Amino acid sequence: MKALILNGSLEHQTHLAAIQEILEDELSKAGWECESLILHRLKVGTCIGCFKCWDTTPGICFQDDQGREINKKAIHSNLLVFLTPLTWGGYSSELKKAIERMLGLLHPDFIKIKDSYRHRKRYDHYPSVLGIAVGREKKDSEEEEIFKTLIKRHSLNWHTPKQKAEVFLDKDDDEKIRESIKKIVVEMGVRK
Amino acid sequence: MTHPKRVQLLVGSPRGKRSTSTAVGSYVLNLLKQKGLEPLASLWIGHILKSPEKIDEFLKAVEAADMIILAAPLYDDCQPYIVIKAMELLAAHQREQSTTQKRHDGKLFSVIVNCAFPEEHHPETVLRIYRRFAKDMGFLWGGSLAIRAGEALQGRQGKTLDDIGSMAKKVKEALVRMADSLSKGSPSADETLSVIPESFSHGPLSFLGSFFIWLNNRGWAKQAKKRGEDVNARPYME
Repeated sequence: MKALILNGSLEHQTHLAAIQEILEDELSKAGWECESLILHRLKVGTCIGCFKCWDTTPGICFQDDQGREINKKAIHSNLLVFLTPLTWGGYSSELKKAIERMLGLLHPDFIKIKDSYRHRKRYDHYPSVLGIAVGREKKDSEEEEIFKTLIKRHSLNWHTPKQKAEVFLDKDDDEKIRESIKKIVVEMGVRK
Repeated sequence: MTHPKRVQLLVGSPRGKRSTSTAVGSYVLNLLKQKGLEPLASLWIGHILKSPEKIDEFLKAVEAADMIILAAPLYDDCQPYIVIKAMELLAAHQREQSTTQKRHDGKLFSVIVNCAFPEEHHPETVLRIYRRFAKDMGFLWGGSLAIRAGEALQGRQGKTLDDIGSMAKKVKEALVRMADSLSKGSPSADETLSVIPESFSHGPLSFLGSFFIWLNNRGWAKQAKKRGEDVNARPYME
């Protein structure tokens, strides 16, 4: 079983590193093969909304950069972790840049599932998604709720088997974070 | 309240000028001009991010404006990368300024979201993110228009709202309402509408919605085939 952690910290931000390490540690203990990518260190171009990954080179972005490698790793993983600074309840720019490049992993066709349109699957299996956001100061219920809704909605479009979102604060101590992550790992079915 | 004078349109479509965001943003900007407001030169965010000089111009333009209108598509249930980046830049710039100045207090921040999906729930999360951003930055929420099934406006093909006739009627009417409020210095309502009639999604006319979807799906397959490709390809399984 493979897990891919996409660390969306911005350049000069280091506060997600501790959580990344705890995630790697707990997943490895559960027997998972785990890889982390610090996105701002990679060469990933911006999606320009051209849809060539749907109608010209179906499934592959025309930009030949590390965005392609991320997509390959993502579709071959069983768990995809979106690790991000909490950004008004949403993703950081670095994380979103990588996510947008994944458009070609979906099929352009619309299908209706439970009264709602989504894109059809291109592949048989998609990874579960775990969203972890880190707030800088005090607990903010509004932002937390937005983030949890975003992960839920985003996962629906991605046909993910399971999804979960959690928000930590920069000031939370490592042990508290570790305990929460242990529980999440169990809830996600990563560890029986 | 002093009525706003200078309006800054920010277009957040990664597609740039050939986009539905440009079409709807330009339309409302023209309405505001007709009502005596002064549109500042429109800014395409994708272009801004290309150099530090342009970023600096962008930050100054937002400071100089009395009202901001952001027109952007919905990507993956939230803002496109370029829009998040612009928001981060504005926030970082504000943090660097003195605490007593440069807040955008009272400045209206309005948003137009273009969403490909027809259902109401799709743009809800991004509007909450934009509201939260506006609050943190000190903007006054200027209202929003969430356009669903926006692909039918054909902005991707470079069409303006006037080019596509009756298909844009509801959108134009909503933009007129938005411009009426904003021109008086008041926030507009939060509106959401589908370009394709709602009755095409549910009820006895839903077969028409299914027909549009079938046409859309067939179009992708044809485009790929024309280029000698298979729309169903699974390149990462090879």
